[in-house]
Amino acid sequence: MFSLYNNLNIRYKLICTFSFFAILIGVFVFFFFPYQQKVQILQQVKNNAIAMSKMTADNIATSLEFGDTTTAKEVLSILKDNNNFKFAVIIDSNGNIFEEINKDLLPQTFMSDKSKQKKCTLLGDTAIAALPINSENVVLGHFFLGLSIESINNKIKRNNSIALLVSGLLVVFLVMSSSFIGNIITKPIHKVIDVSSKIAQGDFTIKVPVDSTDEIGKLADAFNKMSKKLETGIFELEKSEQRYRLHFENINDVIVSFNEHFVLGDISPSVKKFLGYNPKDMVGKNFIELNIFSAETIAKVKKRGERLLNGEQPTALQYEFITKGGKIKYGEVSSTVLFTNGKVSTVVSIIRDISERKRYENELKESKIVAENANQAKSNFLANMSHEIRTPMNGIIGFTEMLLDTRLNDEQKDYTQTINQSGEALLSLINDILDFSKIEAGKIDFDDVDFDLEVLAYDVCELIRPRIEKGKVDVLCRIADDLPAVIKGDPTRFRQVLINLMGNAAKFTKQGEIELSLDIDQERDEQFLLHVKVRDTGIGIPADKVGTIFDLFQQADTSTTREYGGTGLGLSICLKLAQLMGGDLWVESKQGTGSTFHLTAWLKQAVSQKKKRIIPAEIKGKKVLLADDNQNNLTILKDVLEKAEMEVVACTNGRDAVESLNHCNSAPFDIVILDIMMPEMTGYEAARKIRSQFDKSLPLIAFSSSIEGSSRKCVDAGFDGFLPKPINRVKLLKMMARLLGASTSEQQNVNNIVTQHSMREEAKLSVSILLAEDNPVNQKLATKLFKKAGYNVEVADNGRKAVDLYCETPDAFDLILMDIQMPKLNGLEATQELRNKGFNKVPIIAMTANAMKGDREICIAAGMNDYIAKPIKRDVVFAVLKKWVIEKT
Amino acid sequence: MFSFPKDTRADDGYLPPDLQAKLLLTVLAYDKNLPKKTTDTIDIGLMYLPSLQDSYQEAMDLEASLKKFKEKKINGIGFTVHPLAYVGEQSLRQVLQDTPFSVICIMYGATKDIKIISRIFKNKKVFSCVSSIEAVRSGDLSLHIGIKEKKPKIYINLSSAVAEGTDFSAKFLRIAEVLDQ
Repeated sequence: MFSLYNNLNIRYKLICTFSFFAILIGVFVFFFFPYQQKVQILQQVKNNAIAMSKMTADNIATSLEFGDTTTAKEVLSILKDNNNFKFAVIIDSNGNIFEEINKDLLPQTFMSDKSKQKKCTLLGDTAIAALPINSENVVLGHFFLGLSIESINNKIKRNNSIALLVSGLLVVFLVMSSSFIGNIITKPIHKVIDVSSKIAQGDFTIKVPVDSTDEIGKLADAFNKMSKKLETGIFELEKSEQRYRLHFENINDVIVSFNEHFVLGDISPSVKKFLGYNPKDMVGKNFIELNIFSAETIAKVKKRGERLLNGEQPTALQYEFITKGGKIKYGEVSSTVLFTNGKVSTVVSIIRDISERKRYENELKESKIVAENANQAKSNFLANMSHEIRTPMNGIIGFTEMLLDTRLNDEQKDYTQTINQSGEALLSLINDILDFSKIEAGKIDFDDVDFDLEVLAYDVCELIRPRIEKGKVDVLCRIADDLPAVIKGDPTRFRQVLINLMGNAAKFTKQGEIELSLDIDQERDEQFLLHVKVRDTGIGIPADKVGTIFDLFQQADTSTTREYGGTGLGLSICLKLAQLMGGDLWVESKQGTGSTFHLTAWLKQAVSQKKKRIIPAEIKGKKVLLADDNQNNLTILKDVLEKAEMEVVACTNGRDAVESLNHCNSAPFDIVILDIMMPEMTGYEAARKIRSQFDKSLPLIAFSSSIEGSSRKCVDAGFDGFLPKPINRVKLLKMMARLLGASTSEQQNVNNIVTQHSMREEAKLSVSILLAEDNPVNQKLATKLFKKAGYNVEVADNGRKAVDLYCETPDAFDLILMDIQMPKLNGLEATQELRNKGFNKVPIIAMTANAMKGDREICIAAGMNDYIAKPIKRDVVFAVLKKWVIEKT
Repeated sequence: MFSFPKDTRADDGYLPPDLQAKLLLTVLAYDKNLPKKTTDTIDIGLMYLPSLQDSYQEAMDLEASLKKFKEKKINGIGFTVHPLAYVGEQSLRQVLQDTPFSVICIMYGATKDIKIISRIFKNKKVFSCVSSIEAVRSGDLSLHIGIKEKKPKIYINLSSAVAEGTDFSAKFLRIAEVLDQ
C-alpha cells in the first residue's frame, strides 16, 4: 500500500493526502457534531422535563397534602399547553393515583417506582421525568411527567443531514483544492522533467521557463544553471575523455584494470609492444590464468592483488613478466584502486617496462661490487702505504733532527735542514692526503674523550713557536674564563685543526703577533659551541681569494705555493673537520693587514670530572708589576693575574716599570714580570736596574717570544724565572707560586734560574722509559732521542721481552712506549697481558706507523693510555712524556 | 368542622376528628408568622362552653385526635393542646394573659360572645379556628375546616387571619377558599 503511494506522482499524492484528511474531517464533522448536539439536546430535554416536573410537583404538593384534586387537576391541565406533553400522573403516598392525564401512556413499571430521587428516562420517543412530591421532608407522593421527544429526534435527524451535506461539500472542496494545488506545483516540475529528459538525450538548448520568483521559479532557475554547468562539465569531460583516450592509446606504459576476480577490463594497446599480446585477446580473461607470469610471480601478484582489493595502500612493485614469445621482461607496477559503495571494486595498474633499466641496474650492481672491491683494495693500499712510508720517514726525520743537534758546519747544517724540511713536507703531504681520503670516504671517526682545551691550546702555541720569525712575532693565547677545565671531544682532530690554522698564521706572519683565543658562543644542555679565533698580522688574503681558499688545492695565488709551500689541502681538511664537529670555518682578512680565522665546533662538557682551575694560595693578594709593550699581551696577562686575585700594575716599557717601583714605598711589589723585547728599555736593562736599586730578593720573571739563549742572558740580568710567549697561565701561576713561596721560606739561589725547562728537567732525570720496538732504526732513533733529552731508556725488541722486563722490575719504569707491529707478541697483546696482570697505573703509549681509521680506538681498547703516530717527532713525543710523566710527578 | 350543628356547617359531610386534627396542623404549617410567635412550643387551645356537653365532648375528641399527632412538628416546633372552658370575657383575657396561645379552636356553642372573642383574639394575635363557617364569612374569626363535594375544604377569611397575626403562603391560599367580602 505504502509502495503504491510512493509510486504515485506528486499530484496524486497531494490529492490522496488531501482526500484522506478531508474524509477524516468529514467523518468527524458528520459523526461528532450531530452526536454532540444530540447529547446536548437530549440532556436539555431531560433538564426541561425535570424542571417542569419539579415546578408542577411543588404546585401540587399542597393539593396532595390537603387532598385537593381540583387544584391538582388545574395544575396538571396547565401542562397540556406544552406541545410535547404526553402524560402526567400524581400518585399519593399509598400508591394510588391522586390525579392524572393520559395515565395509560405511563408504563406500569414506573408506577411502582418509589425513589426519592428525581430522574428522567428516555423511553422510545418519550422523556419520562419522575420525582417525589415532598412537604416538610415527608414524601407525599410521586409525580410522573411524560414529554414527547419526537420533534427533538426530527431535529437531530435534520442536523445529521446538514452535517452530512457539509462533510460531503468539505471533502469535495478539499479534493478539488488538492487537485488544483497539485496542478500548480507539478506543472513546472513536469516541465523540469521534460527538459531534463531532453538534456539526458544530449539536448542542452532547452531551458525551463522561469515564470515566477517563488520556490518553483528558483528551482527552474537553479535547474537551468545546473544544466549550463552540466553542459560545460560534459564538454570538459568529453575533452578529458579524449585526452585520456589519446594517452591511453599512445602511452608507452601499459594501463590495465581488473576487478575483484582478477578479470581484466581495459588494457592499453601498448601491451602489444610490452608482452606481444593483442589487448582484445586479454580483455575479459583472468590475468592469473594468462601465461604472462611465472608460477612464482603469479603467487606474488595474486597476493598483492588481494591486498589491494582489501584496501592496502598501493605501492610500486616490480614483477617479472613473460612475453608471448617466451622472453622475460621486467615491469614496475603502480596501482590505484577504485571504490564502489565503499568497497574496492577495481584496481587500475600502470605497468612500466623497466627491462632496460633492470639491465642497467644489474650492470650497475656489478660495477658497484667491482668498485667497492677496488675501494677496499685502495684502502688497504693506503693503509699499507701509510705504514710503509712512515717507517722510513721516521728514520729520515728523526735522524736529521738529531743530526741538527750535532756539530755541523753551515753548509752541512743547511743540507740537513733541507732534508728535514723536505721530510716534514712529505710527511705533511702524506698526512693531508690520507686525511682527505678518509674524509671523502666518510670513514673518519671522532673520539669522545675528556681533555683540557687550555693545555691543548698552549701546546699548540708551543708547537708552532719554533716556526715563527724569532723576535719579531709575538704569540698570544687568550682563554675565556668560562671555558670548562675539562671537555669531551676528539683532542687529536682539534689539535690538528688548531696546528693547521696556527701554522698558517706563523707561515704568513713576518712581524707583529699571532693570537689564539678561545671563547664560548652558545651553551645548550651539556654542550657548548666553542669559537676559536686565530688572528695574525700577516700578509692577509686578497678579497677575491677569500672565498676560494677553502677549496681543494687552492691557495691565495700560485706564488704563495712557491713562496710558502703547502699542498692547498690543509684548510679544506680543516673546514671538513669543523663541519664534522658541527661547526664551521671561515676567514676575515684584509690584504696587507692580516687575517682572522674563525673556527666553531660543538663540544661536550665532561660530566665525569669537572675540574676547577686552581689558584695557588701563595700568589693570592700579592702585588705584581707587569711590563710588556704588546698591549694585547699586556691585557691578557693582566686579566690572568687579576683572575688569580692579584693586584696588578701594568706598564708598557721597562722605564715605566722601574719608575713604578720607585713610587711604591708605601705598598711594595711582591713580584715583577717583564717582557724582554721592549722599546726604550729592554727587560734585561730593567732587571739590571731593579737589582741594582731595589730589594735583591724581589722575584723577577722574564718572558719573551725568542727563547734561543735566553736562559743565560736572564741569569746575567738578574731574573729568577723565565717563560716563553705565549705565557701559559698554569705555568706562570706555578712559577710565581714557587718563587713567592721560596722568597718567604728560604733564600733563593740567585744563580739557579727557574724556567719551564728547569722544572721539567728536575722531573725528567728520574724518569725511566721502557721502549718496545722491533725496528732497529727506530730503536736507535728513539734511544738517542730520549737519552739526549735526559731520560733513562731500556729497549725490548718484541712484546714478550717488554712484558717480561717490566714484570721483573715494574718500579724501574715510569712509562712504556709500545710499538704495535712486533714479532712474538704484538703491542696490543703485550698491553693486554700487562693490564691483566694488574699493572694498571703505568702509562702505556702506543707508537705505530699505522695511521688509518680506528687505530687509536684499538689501542685505547687494548688498555693503552695514548697514541703517537710514526714517524716519531721529537716535539710530539716530549709532549706526551710531559703529559703522562712529568706533569703527574 | 367538628360536630357542629348542622346549620352552621359548610356542607353536609362529616369530617372525622382525626382528619380535622391533621388538616389543622397542616394549615398551621403554612403560617409563616407562627414560628415568630413562639420558640419552644405552640400552644393550641380548645375552647368549649362548659354548660354544653356536646361542646365539651367535641373538645375532648379533638384533643384526643391532636394528641395522636404529638410527634409532628409544625415548621420544626412541637405543640401542646389545652382544653379551655369559656366562662366570660374577663376569664378569657386572664387565660390569654397567663398562657400565650397561638391558636384557639372554638368548639360548638362557645361563639355566643363572638364579637368580644373576635376583638380579644385580634388584640392578642391569636389565630382562631371555628366550627361555624358564618363566623368566618362575617370576618369575626379566621379559619373553618369543612367538607365540600364530599372532600375536605379549607375556608379562610384572609382579612381576619391577617388581623390575627398570620401570614399564609400563596400555595396554601391556592387550595383554600377565601371568604373575604
